[in-house]
Amino acid sequence: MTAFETILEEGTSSRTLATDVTKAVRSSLIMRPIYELPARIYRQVGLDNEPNLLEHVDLMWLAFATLDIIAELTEYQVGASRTEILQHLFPLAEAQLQAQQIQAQPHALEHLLGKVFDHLVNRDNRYLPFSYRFYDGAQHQFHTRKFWLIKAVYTGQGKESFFALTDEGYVAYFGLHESSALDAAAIGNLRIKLLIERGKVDDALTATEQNRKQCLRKANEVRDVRRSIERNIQAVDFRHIHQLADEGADQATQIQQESGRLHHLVLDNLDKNSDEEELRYKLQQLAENLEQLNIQQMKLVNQLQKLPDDFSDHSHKLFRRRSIGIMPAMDTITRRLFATPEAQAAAVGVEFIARFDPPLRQPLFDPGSMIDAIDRALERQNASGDIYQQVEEAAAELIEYFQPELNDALMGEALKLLFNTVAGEPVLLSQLLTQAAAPPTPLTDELQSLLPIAMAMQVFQCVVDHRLAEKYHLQIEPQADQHVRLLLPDGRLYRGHELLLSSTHPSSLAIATDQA
Amino acid sequence: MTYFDEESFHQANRLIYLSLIYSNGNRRALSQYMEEMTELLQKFRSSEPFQQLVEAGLKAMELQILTITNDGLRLSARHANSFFATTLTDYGKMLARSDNKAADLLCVHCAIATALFPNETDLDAPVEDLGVVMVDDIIQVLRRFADQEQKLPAEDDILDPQVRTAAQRIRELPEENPDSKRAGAGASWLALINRVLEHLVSTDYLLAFEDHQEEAIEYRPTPAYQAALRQAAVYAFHSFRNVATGQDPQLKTSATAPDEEPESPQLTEQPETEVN
Repeated sequence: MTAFETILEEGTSSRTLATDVTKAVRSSLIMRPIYELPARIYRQVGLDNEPNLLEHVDLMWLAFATLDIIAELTEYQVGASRTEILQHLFPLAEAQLQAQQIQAQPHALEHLLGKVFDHLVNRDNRYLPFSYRFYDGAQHQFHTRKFWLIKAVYTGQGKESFFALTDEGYVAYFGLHESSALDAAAIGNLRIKLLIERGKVDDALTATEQNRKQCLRKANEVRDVRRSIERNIQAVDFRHIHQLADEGADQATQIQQESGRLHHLVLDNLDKNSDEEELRYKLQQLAENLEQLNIQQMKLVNQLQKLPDDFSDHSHKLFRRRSIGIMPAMDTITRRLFATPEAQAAAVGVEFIARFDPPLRQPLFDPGSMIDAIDRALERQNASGDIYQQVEEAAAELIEYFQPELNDALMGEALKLLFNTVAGEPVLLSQLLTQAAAPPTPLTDELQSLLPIAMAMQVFQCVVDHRLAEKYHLQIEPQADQHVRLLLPDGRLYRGHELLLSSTHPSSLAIATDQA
Repeated sequence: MTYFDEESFHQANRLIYLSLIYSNGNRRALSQYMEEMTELLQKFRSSEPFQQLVEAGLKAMELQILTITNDGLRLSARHANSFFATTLTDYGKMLARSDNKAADLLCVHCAIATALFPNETDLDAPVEDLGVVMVDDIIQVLRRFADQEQKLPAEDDILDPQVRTAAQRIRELPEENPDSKRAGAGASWLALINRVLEHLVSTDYLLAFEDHQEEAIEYRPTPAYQAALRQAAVYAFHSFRNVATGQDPQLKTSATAPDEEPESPQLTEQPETEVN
């Protein structure tokens, strides 16, 4: 509860015009989304030649009906899906139109209802809460009130999102009596009352069950607090305990009054419906449930009120020396962090994430590897081989493709020679080229003269592309201090650094002897 | 100054390099270096000069050791301005969103941790005993903490009521956004949680198990997560205390020279065990 709300609650003792007006304004803000509804949905719904449905339906009525439908549906489930809600709403809207003898396309009506629902959940504003500014006369300040009427709740079930009424939603529907004690159990009682009065005893039974669960949950919370008092009293805030106890006492009296009234209501109904056997039975069951609920709530109050005593029983531990290196409990840390102002939380968050998450892999920019990647991508694109396809039109001239002088056979021969020579022991490039110029091979003379060039090409490819070198098990080391000038048989001059070639293949020796 | 041979420098850097791979959660990339890693770790454990060398290297790279496991050193950035620091942009890249807010992510991180380690002793317990969490549990924790600061007693109210708190930010987000698949749908609790969980799984901090019957994913913590959290949580807690007492050295200096952590990395052994 913010300081402002506390002032509002305590406001009765020091009432002035300013506080009263502010309170009324603040409470009435809750109705604003509903009042705004007709203004927000202004466009024509449906086709031009059809009657404009907006002029014929009561949008406010539909809005409150939506709230009621959700309140009813959520009695026995956590939330209601959009489709479900619209399904229930549709016949109600249809009835409105029938009263005026207006025929409407079902889809147009559905569309309209969808818009009503979307407005109530603030879909246009990304399902965020409605937010209104108002003037606080007592403090001479402006405040913003943010709230939902219908809120999407996470259930983890099904494919659709579920919606439920918020406290504000219940308040908007059950009247403008906004009070802080409208907690889950009290609202539950309101629901039960509604259901009994409508004769839906089955649903009322479910609601009592839910109320019981609420009690259990609160009891669990109390148990957790007690456990942490016993285990680690440092982590528990004494003031928090007192607050819990006070809160518990206040709430419990109120809930008890409510439950008592409900009990009477049920007994009343029992008398009235004394002739229907089944209904009587159910009402009796309901009365029993309510009684149990009452007992449970009393127990809970007792537990809550015992908490301060528990705390003082264990308080001697507070003076114990703390052992070094003990972590604060995650609970404490989280609670503190949630209470941090958002700017600071953001600063802490940035640091936290940096220190907590593993170091990031930072890709380094390298032009070489990028060109490599592009190259490979291009190769893949051309892999279909369509440029070598036969051209079949008779009239068309065949395009001459570039035929490389160093053809596959020649390169193969060079590779074979390279392998055989390198396999034995490391060899210098100049030796290799001389060897390529000399020996007779099954090649023609013309190709024979190109063999040294093919050999040089093979070696260079391996120098440029290390993957190729790995494939051929070649290791190439430039000899920085030696230069070569070599006249090749076809009249070309090879010059440059000397390279030392050696084989890295484990079985290179064996292959060499085999081939020899 | 202790004498180091050239080999030691090489090995120290090698250990940092391999640990970076390991910390990134890339098991496949690391598998070919496993033998080398084991040797380096042995040297790291046995030789103190070598340890100092590695630590100096890590410090120079603005990294810190979170824990030491049998598979390598778990590293993280020393502070937010480090070159290796994970940033909000990284979360953004992952889901092609750029609307991440550090305060929200921090809350979600803490909620996940609180769901996994409800008690302080859990931070030291073997991870096998800790059980699993599902998105539902984390939502429960967020629900519990979202109105937390409202319950803080008035005297504890260090803040001007006009100042928005982290909890308030969370309170004003919807739990689930039915339009989440549309562009610009806006954040929700569920979206934030999934973003953080996805990142934690991809970096090997959490293990995800899919339960086909329930169609829900169960998350289990790893020792690395526990160790990382222990350090980060201590940081977060201290920085809050500084906010509360008005002196705020961490946040003021973090932009310029955020160094000199009071607590040294814990050099305790933590066998990394598979949880299945």
